Amino acid sequence: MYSGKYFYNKYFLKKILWILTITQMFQCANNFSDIFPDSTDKTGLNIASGQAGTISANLLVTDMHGNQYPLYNDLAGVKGSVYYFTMWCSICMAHSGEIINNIKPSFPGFNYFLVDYVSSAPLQSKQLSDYFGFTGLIGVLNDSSGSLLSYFHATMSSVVVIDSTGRIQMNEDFKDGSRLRSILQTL
Amino acid sequence: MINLKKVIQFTFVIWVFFAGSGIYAASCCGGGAAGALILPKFSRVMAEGSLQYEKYNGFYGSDRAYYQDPAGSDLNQIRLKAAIALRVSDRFQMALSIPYVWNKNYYSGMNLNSSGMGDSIVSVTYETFDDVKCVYKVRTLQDLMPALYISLVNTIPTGISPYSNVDNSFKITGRGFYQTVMSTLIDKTVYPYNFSINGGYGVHYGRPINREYGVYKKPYEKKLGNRWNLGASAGYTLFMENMDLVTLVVSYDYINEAGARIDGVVDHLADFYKSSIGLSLSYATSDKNRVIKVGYTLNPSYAEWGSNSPVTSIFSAGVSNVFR
Repeated sequence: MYSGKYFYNKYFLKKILWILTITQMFQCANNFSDIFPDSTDKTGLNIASGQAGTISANLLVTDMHGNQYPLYNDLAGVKGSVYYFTMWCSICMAHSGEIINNIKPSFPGFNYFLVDYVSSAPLQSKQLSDYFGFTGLIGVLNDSSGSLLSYFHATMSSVVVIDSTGRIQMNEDFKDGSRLRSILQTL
Repeated sequence: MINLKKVIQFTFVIWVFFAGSGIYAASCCGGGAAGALILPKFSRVMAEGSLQYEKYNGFYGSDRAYYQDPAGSDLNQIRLKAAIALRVSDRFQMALSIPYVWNKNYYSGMNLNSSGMGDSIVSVTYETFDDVKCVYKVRTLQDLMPALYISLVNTIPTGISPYSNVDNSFKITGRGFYQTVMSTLIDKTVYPYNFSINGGYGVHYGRPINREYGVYKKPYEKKLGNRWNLGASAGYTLFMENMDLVTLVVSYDYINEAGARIDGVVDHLADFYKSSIGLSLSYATSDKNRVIKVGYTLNPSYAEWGSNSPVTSIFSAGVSNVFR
């Protein structure tokens, strides 16, 4: 019959746990914020550019045909523009489909764009747009320079909404799209 | 009596050996998979080191079709895991698994490597039996009784998630949520054949989020969806002249996760499922104290094998040592 005595051997437990955990903690000491999640609103501490409530810079953008133009051109004559950052992954495709099939028809009067930040050239963005069947359904921008990505501090499934005055109304993860809908509703 | 020094040395050697690997890899979808490390009956301690190399080969869309990744892209993730299982009593055991993850993403317009700790696993397992259920010959009905393990597998979010202080999705090594999976394993060996069935149901715990990719956002509540998995395997063992064992196992696994809840509203765009098939080969010493294992698991690149999830192939290698 096993007595369980060994389990209580402090020497044993300490040695094993020190080797397995502390060694790794040295290498990644700053990534334990998920252990104790924070619910405090700290948006006032943001120093990142391109966040909601600020006026967007008039960045130079490139479409999938290689045409370059100022971002504010997208705002002329419409209520605003929606930019969804895609790396053509599964969740990106689900979100893109939601924008094209449900959000865009529900909220006309806006320009809608996918921002491809992983292709090195507009031609590749065009090929991917064709492959996924998006061509003609939504605008596709190529951000190989990374200017939009870095200015908006965007990444996979980030969505940015800019109104006709250039004010950024939204810059956050797409999530389920309900936040995007509510923003578009107000514009 | 267990040789403490040996246990520690073995664990340390495995860790140092694998940590010294200069290979880097990546994923947009996080790393780490929940699974309990099972300690054999009548053993007190087991240490295990394993290395997994996961290569991304496209994805299943939400329409269940298979899509390729962009041309010229190369997405990989390497996971090093160090794990230890301890016997607490005759029927209870517990285990700890700590992964370290290397990400490597290459697109035609972007190249990014990163690394960090993955989500850790703490599990408690209950064995419903007192004697070894592996038999060489079936003489009575009792000999057909399988081994049944019931585990509570807990994921601790020690990895880098979208809510950590990172600036992009390529650096993710974990999901950022606590999770508990109740899993069962039914296993029967009648040498040279082995069969097993496993299943589990897991719940994620909700949490507040006030930051996405390093930028603070208006706080909201998020809870990943519940998940369930089912798997089966069959194996054949070959006995060497010195009674060492070589075992070949084929397996099938299915996993399904419901959409997340954001401020209480279900996000159906986030639910997914996928199936995988695997093949593994293990070599065990005659006393079964040391096992060396290599394996290959893949999601077939065909429609209907998954939805809304990446298609990957995983090469794995590991070694475990039991201290009785």
